[in-house]
Amino acid sequence: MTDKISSRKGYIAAEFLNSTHRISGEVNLRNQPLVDTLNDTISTFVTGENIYISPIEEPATFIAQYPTGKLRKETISMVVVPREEDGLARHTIYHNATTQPITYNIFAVLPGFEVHGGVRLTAMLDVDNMLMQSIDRFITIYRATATVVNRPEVQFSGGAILLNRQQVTLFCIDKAAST
Amino acid sequence: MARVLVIDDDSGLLQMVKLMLERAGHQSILAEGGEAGIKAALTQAPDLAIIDLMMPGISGYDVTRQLRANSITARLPILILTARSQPMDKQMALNVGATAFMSKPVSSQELTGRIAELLNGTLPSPIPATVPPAVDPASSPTANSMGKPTTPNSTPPPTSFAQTSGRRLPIGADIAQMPPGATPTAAAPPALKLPNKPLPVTAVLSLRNGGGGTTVAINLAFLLRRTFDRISLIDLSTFGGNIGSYLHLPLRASWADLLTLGDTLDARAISAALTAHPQQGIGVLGSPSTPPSRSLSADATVSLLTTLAMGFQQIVVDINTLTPASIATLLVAHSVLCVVGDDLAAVQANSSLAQTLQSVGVNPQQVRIIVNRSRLEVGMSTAAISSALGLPIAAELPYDVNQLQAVRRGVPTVVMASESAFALALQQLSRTFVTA
Repeated sequence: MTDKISSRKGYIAAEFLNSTHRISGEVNLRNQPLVDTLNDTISTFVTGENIYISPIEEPATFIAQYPTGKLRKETISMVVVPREEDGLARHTIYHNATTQPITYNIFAVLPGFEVHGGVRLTAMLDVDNMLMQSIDRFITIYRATATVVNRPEVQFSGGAILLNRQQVTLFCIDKAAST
Repeated sequence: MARVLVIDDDSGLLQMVKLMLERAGHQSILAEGGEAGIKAALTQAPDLAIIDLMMPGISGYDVTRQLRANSITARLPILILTARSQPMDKQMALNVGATAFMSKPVSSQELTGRIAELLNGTLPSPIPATVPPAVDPASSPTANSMGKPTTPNSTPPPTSFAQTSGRRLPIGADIAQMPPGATPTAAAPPALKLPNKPLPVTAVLSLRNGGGGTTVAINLAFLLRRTFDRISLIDLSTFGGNIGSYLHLPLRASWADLLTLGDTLDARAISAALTAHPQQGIGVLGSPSTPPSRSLSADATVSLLTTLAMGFQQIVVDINTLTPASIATLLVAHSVLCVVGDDLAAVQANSSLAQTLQSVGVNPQQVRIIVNRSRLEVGMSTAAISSALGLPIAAELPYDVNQLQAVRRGVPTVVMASESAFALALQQLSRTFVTA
């Protein structure tokens, strides 16, 4: 028996955010990291279970609940996950095992949000590659915080936030402030 | 060891938390979903509740709100354990009344550590000690009125009981419940430590089965509930009391379950023995279904009532025998209502009532004789009953056709037919003798 109380076995609890809603739910991982599920181009939707919906400006209020729901990947601005390891893609896990990544602070703007956090880059993965050449829809920002622009007191933090690259308006990286 | 209620819609998680709690030496009460959780919290007297936020039907926020709104669980430590981990979630949980907040994933050590903190730091007593606002401020008595002897306007209390010497105690088989050779006076230990002033206890004494004492006790408790948030109803019958069956309420424990605890009862044990009435929240302690080996001691009874009085604003005790426990109750009560039927047998059975009460040291100022006309047939007149008993009659409760239906439905008459003659008469009695 695991000694951690977390989501159901094989599932991950995540927060799906866009400019209007906060959607909490669980995703069946089917033996692959969440970010890989989100980046799987074969499916347009990702299935969430135990879906709880809140307005983004009243994020602690439940306005609806459903046992299951389909989320259209391209309309999700970001996904907040509790732990850093929840944001790792399979290839990242491999890279991290063979190379030493360097973490850089980033600042990103998406519709309705500002995001602070860190990206982990290696010799094989630079920022241009990550933003412009990668085919992945979602990129992982570690130890991240997303602030709702219209209500700066509303912030979502997690071990990682998976940003929808196609919704990024601005992406800044501070290479001098590496940690 | 604490009793920890875990409310979550995920049965797998419930089992996992149960294992963690058991490893830490706690007892777990599992409730799958909000509704089951509220019911368990009200009926099983947990020491702490762990509540998930995201549950279908009633969310953890709403569960917390409802528990905080109920006097029984108003001070129950509540730990929110949720996958929603954002600061606004914690703030919301605390705003609705949670004591602490943890987000998943959480380790066993973290969880049990937090539970220990909550139990050690914020659980002085599972019995609520603060008094929330009364339902009806206009009719609510002041705090000063609690515990004072009542002085009715209409019927002056007797300054001493009429002497009916030479007559045997009219309690027949009831005396068999006492130790061999004991008298009621001997049953109360001479060293019994009584509180400095009467407790907010109304003892409803009916020394003859079928006299209606239990009916009066139940209805009085529910009537008091209109004014007070926290009412307790105790059945001190030696065994086979009817309070549970009259209310269709399965009682989780009886006073006999307190026998092993000695003479100083623990508030947590008392709280765990109480069954909360699901609609009214009245804390009920039943009588055992079979005769126990002994009665609750007088000291234990004083401890029980004193502890209950710390959390309950009014305590109604149903008494139909004289045991050390019931005598101790009569001695600490601020009001003793002696319920007498209007038939000849009932009056005869109570003919030595005054002598009996005097012999055990009950203050006559606190005793009121109530004639309960529980039959359709016209019984003895009030004057005749008073003459036979040698005591003034303080009030009469009329026959009420609703009573049988009330018992069938498990709903007290004062709730089912609040404007009935019986309900109105009991209301007047309560105002005059109990809450005055």
